[in-house]
Amino acid sequence: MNRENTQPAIKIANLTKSFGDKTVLRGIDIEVAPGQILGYIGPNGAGKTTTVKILIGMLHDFGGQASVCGHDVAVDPLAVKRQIGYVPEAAALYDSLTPMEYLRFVGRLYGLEVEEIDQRAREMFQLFDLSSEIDNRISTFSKGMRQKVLIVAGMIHDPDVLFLDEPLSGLDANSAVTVKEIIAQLARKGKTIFYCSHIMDVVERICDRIIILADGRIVADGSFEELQGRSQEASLERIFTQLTSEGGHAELADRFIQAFARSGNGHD
Amino acid sequence: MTRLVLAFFHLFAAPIRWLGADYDQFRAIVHTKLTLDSRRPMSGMHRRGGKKPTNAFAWTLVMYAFMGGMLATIVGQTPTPMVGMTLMHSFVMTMIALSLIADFTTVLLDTTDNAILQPRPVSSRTILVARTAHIITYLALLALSLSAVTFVVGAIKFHVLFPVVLFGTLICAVAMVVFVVQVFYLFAMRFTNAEKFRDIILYFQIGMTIVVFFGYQIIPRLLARVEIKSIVLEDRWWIYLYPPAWFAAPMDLLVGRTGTVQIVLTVLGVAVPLICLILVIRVLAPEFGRALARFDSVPSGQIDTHPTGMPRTPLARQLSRWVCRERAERASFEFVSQLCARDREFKQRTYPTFAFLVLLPVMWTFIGDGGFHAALERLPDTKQYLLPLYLACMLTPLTFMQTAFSSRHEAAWIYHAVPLHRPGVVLVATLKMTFVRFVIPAFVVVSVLVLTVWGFSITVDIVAAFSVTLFVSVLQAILFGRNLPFSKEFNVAQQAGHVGRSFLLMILPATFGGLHYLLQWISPWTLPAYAAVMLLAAVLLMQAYARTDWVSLGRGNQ
Repeated sequence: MNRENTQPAIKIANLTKSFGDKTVLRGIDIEVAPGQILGYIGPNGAGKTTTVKILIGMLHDFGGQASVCGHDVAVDPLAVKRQIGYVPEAAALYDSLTPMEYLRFVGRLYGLEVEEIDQRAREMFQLFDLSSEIDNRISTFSKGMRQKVLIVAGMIHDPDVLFLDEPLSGLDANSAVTVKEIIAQLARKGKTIFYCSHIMDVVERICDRIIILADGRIVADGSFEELQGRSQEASLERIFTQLTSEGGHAELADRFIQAFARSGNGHD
Repeated sequence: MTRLVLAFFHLFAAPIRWLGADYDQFRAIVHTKLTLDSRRPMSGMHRRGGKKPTNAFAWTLVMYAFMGGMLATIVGQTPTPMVGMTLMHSFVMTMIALSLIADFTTVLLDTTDNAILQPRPVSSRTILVARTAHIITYLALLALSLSAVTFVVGAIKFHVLFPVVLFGTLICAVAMVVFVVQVFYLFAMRFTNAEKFRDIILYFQIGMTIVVFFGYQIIPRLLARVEIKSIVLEDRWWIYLYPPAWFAAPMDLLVGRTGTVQIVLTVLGVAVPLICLILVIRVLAPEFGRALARFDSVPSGQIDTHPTGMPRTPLARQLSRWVCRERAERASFEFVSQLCARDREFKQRTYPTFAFLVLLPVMWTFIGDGGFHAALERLPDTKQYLLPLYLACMLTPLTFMQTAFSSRHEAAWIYHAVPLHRPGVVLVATLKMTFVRFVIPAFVVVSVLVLTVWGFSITVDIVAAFSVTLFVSVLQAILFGRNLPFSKEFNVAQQAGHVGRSFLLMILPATFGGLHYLLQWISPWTLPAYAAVMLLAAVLLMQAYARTDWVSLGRGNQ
């Protein structure tokens, strides 16, 4: 996977970000080579989504350097946005449009021709068993169907770098397998994947590099095998909890259950 | 309509590009926005992506055309086109400004599609141009229907080409209003943080609405004192500062009255909107994108709650113990009370109402015959205290109507997830909350006003008017308001349409106010009886309202 001569697809140096007096990122350094699938994981509130939002040019006023495909995010966010795709987690869609209309809208924002969009979208929807729903309003869609629309909308313009935030959420098993296979093939074609998730066994299997973020800092960076070797734990889940929490999960669960008892009669 | 509008904007493809927007993206965004507007939101019934006309907005257009028709009769009497058109443009710009500030500011500063547009390679300049065009479309339609009759009158009375020129000046006038408001917004965005800015916008909106309304009341009265046929505008120094006069001047040129004044004004009318446009798009647009992103990303939770929210919680809970019996009703009361205290959009839509309650009566007094002092001496012998009281009766129930709407209407799923046997419990709690939070305080203030002028002899009238207000509120709630709080989406067309429904809601208070006026002459006991009957009716209706079940929920809308 190491292609030392090529320019990194993503390059982050000493990235910091705070909202008001709350610091979210405390100095992040990452370089991702083209063709890499990077698993970016961390506890809730660790700064994963903030990192992604900075990289795709949605957040301004950050500290440090960030560039994607050779374009500085702070200087030329539009150039970055043209080359990347973003599949946000359970994001808003224009519900009263049909998926086809939505894609025509999104595709034209990337400067694609309507015929091109139609043809690509039809094929992609067919792969997701969504062909019959193509002219129905998104408001009638289930969570999984909406997720499929988001995925197609994030890839319609054939981006070089793909940011995925929990892309499998709500998908049925078949579609999830399809998406994982798509990710692998895209990487083989030299596309870079930035994969955020809480589902450890998926990250473990599909990512060839894993970064664990905790409290705005990187606490681990390497392939799954490297992380295994360093921590002496078998699964990514165990490695993750070892690095990002104090442990004692059984005791926490116990206290959670106790909360019903302590407040007396819980319900009327 | 979407196609017609897009074809119209296509004429401006070159200027739009010159402004620095990407024309194809612009077209895609405007097309999508108009398509969204043309569809009723979130109705699972219509699975096919067909179009539905926006009835509410169409109604507003008809009503505006009617109002404009009345003004056209005055325009027909003016000596020169410029006088008539100054009047016309004042009227149109006033209405447009009112509509822009009351209904379309949320559209301009909307952050809900950030997640869709921000990751795409669209510059904030393109987004701003597209949004402006989207808003101008609606405002231009309002302006055109306001002046529909004037088009005909002007063509007959002044010149055949009059409609063509009027169309141009109206577009310039609408653009002028939009740009001036945007310049203000964008400058404010540059110099404040998101939270402060939202507060500023809120108070600016309230202030502007009041100013516009004042102007609306005063100008006709001033006009009534002058002979319309003898008005001369050319020698007044202030016309150079009065935008409606700029847009009226071209009409004089059209009929051959080519004085220096007319030429200077025409130049101003073309140049100033253009300068504003350039300032907005070329200079201030980047700030717009940043501000929108910032609005979205600030974790506003902490900022919002601690200064205002925290102390309110116990108060709302205390009040709920007094006015609600059931536990679910108390919980709803407290919940809706907190949302109303914090939801800025809700405040934007409701607070101006309360300023009117105090300012309108004061203003009526001021501009009556003989000025303020004469009015204060004359008033105690009149029955005019009924006006402020029934104004309150007309305006305060509208706050309840507003509780149904929210930009986060999806969150209403919670009502359906909890074991709530009848949604009526939540509805009644919401209605009671508006009584406690808005209706009663408003009546206290208005009562203080009228009591200082008329003295305690009118206490019975106040009680009666208050009872009527409660009754009218519940009646309107039953007719139009079987919606769970913060459960409905508003889109552009609906917001504009609510002007139309509000108009219908005025008739009830006026009728009961008229009844009040007549009853007081019969005997001293009719008014207390009236109050008692109204109160009883309110209580009974409230019980019926509380029985609202899941089946009848949402019934009676549009």
